[in-house]
Amino acid sequence: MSEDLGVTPSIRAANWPGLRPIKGAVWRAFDCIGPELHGRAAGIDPPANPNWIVLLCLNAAVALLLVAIGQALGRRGAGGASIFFWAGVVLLLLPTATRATWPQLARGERIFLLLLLGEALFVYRLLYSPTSFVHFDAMLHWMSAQDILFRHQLFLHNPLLPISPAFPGLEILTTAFANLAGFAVFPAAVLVIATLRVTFVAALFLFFETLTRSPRIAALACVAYMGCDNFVQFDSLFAYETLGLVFCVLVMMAEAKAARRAEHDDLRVLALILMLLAALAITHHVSAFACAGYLIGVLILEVLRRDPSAAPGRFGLLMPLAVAVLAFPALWIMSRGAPLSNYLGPVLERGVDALMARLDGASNARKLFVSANGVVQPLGYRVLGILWTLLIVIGLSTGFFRALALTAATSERPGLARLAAVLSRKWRDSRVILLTLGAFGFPVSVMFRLTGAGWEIGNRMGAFVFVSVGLVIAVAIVHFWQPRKAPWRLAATSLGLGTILLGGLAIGSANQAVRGPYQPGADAASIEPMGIAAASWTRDWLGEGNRFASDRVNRLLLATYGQQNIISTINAHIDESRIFLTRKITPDVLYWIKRGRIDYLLVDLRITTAPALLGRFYEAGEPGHGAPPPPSMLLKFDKAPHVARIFDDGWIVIFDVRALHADS
Amino acid sequence: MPTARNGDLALACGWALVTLAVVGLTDSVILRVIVSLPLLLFLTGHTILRALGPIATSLLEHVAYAVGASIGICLAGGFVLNRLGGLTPLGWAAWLAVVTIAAAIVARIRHGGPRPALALGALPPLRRWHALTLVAAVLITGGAYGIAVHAAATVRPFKYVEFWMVPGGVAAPNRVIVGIHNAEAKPLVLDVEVKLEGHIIASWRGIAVAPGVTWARGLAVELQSGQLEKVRASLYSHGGNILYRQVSAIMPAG
Repeated sequence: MSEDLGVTPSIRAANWPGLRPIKGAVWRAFDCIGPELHGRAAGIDPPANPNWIVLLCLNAAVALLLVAIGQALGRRGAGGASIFFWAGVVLLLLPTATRATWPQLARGERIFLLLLLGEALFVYRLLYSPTSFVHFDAMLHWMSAQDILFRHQLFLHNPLLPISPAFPGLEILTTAFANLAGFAVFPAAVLVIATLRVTFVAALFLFFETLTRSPRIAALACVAYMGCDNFVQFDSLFAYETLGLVFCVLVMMAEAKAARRAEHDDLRVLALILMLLAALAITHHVSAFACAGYLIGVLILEVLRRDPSAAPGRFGLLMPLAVAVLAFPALWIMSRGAPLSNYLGPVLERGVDALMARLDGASNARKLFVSANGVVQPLGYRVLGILWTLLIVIGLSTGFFRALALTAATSERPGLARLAAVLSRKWRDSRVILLTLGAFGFPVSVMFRLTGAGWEIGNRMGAFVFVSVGLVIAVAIVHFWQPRKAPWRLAATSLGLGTILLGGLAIGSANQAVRGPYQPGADAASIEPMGIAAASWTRDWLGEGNRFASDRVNRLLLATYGQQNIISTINAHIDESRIFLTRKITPDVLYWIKRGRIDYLLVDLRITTAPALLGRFYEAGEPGHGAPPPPSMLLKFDKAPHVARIFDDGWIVIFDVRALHADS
Repeated sequence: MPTARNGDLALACGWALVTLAVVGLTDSVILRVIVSLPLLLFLTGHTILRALGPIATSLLEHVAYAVGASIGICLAGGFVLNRLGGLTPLGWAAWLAVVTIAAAIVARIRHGGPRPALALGALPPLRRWHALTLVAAVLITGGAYGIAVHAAATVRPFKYVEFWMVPGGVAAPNRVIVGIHNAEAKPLVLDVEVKLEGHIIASWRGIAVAPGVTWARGLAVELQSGQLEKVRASLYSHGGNILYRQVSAIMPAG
């Protein structure tokens, strides 16, 4: 049964003489952002309606069929791909999200529809590449998993992502299943991630439901969370954050459930959460830090809380958890000697510097909706991106004070009185306070996105910030936008939520939602059978473990399909762009080849045909910044007497340069 | 009635043993998926939760914890098996069986009393058209996946011919291998010519290579002593004398 708090506004009764001219505007603005809780008790929920459930299952299936047709047409470069694709996406998102968040609905039906939506979005992503990994991060982790599966050993070096073997959680789980089932990493990863998606959505729903005591707010918060630009794409990839997030939400749910049951000294719960925290520590560093931030934030707020009804033993569970959530990742990083500061440090430093420079007006903003190759995104993507930001800001503005008022430890009903109680540190649940304050992370993430170097930080914050965003938007919808079941209000909020989902999906796909023809320097859109065949050829005819240098995309293929040892800035501090992007074989070129003891160079002449979509072919800051080099630049090794052109397929050429460092 | 109360534990233990047997005895992927997925991602965690004692208050909560605990056990197994050199199918099956059975024994000893009911709520009545619609939904989703797989397998943005020459290596220092792979859509007839210092040392004419077929030949090369030598191979269309590709190999000093 829903328990949306029913509080009638009393602030209108106040009388401020002398301010009549602006009174109306002030009231309206105050009514919008103020803490009044307009939502009414929803009454008894009806039983689950199987007609709706099966029809929405059919709807999701038809939607996925349209998406698959759109993707297949897109691969062929045929017209109409976008029409099929986006028709399918709208059909997939809007009906199910609307029904799952309907004011009166059986709890079980809400849960089923949320799980259906979560899984359908996973299948949606799978349709982009149904038989193999193509996304950059997924291929990095695939390499680590292949090492575990075929070499039966953990912690083997990954030249493309050296940090990955130190956090092998997802790879252990996936290769365990691959071993047991007897198949390759990809199908094992698909089934594992499908299970993780269900678990994540279920745990997120239970977490929100525990905090708000309302299945409807929980469902709304989950749907709003799915509007995170990482939910569909990045956080369902074969990458460690996909599993890290699941552990994170499970920990948050278990702790909140225990607090709600006032089981502050329950060793069983403690044992379970410690197990989850230990698993999190070895799975993903950023998720572990986010979880630490959450648990320590809750502990601090519990210390600050002055609610007389608060149980004195409430620190019983929080204290050991706060210690564990700090100690486990620290111990793990120290024991493995994980080069975390080398990995995260430069990203954070560059991002924060860029943000500060931007705030000081010392740097230009990143051009929004313009790819690194200068191509402006289509109008639809731009409109969705702007609407996504705008609707989330509106939701946060109208939900922030209401979310705070929701957890006030007072029996008074006026919103201001409830807000005053919160300001007096009298609240019922520190988790709600923390998450509401955490919604400030959204504007911070948007500011990071406006900078070139900080974009990645803003993007990665999303998965964690949206837990807060989801809660606040859900409270805004229930207690401001939909206080009554007026049809236009239901339609407008459903459309708003649907737009947030669509916007998140469009932003997350970075203008690459529909599969198109090959593009150079575009990661997933650059991976196709010819490149894979060339990489596989190296394994078959040269053997594994040769020292190769190549461009960013072919490095991935050589390391995974070719099982070669990649020499790059990350692995050996060798800047390959200084080998490839020069007109002649200079002493500098020879120096880098000798220093890296490079055996083979693979050049892909397709990069001479168009600018790199992501602004680089080799490394960030390379000469030309992703401009297509002339073919003669890449083929200059043909003229060298001690270099052999051992492979040529018309586009991809491999040079044997072993003789250049034979004496070194 | 201890048997009825702990039926889930007996089932989990039985399942773990069946998985061990299936993994050890059969290569059937379908069978191995069916038995191993529930054990890996649910049953081990379920027995661990039963050993810990009641925590969850609803079935959904229990399932979520069970998945989390199962993954936690799996990760622990990864480290144990890594230390023992047992990251193999049988190693994994044995680990899961040992943990599941041990947890079930602990659960049986520690919590002999009745456990909290975690029953599924009342399911809505399903009619025949509901079932048919669900089957249709599954089939359509399968069709969507099939379309995606077909497109991934058949759409090839580039048609090409691979041509290569690699030295024989340490085992055969005076040999090279010349190869062709046809990834065009049609059969090709090709000529190959190999030269050393401008002199033809081998040639093959009228090589018919069907799409998807690889042709390769080994060739002994007589080396001059004291210097590296570059052997060059050229690929021509048969009879037309149009040069397609040129590759080379550096031969070690003789």
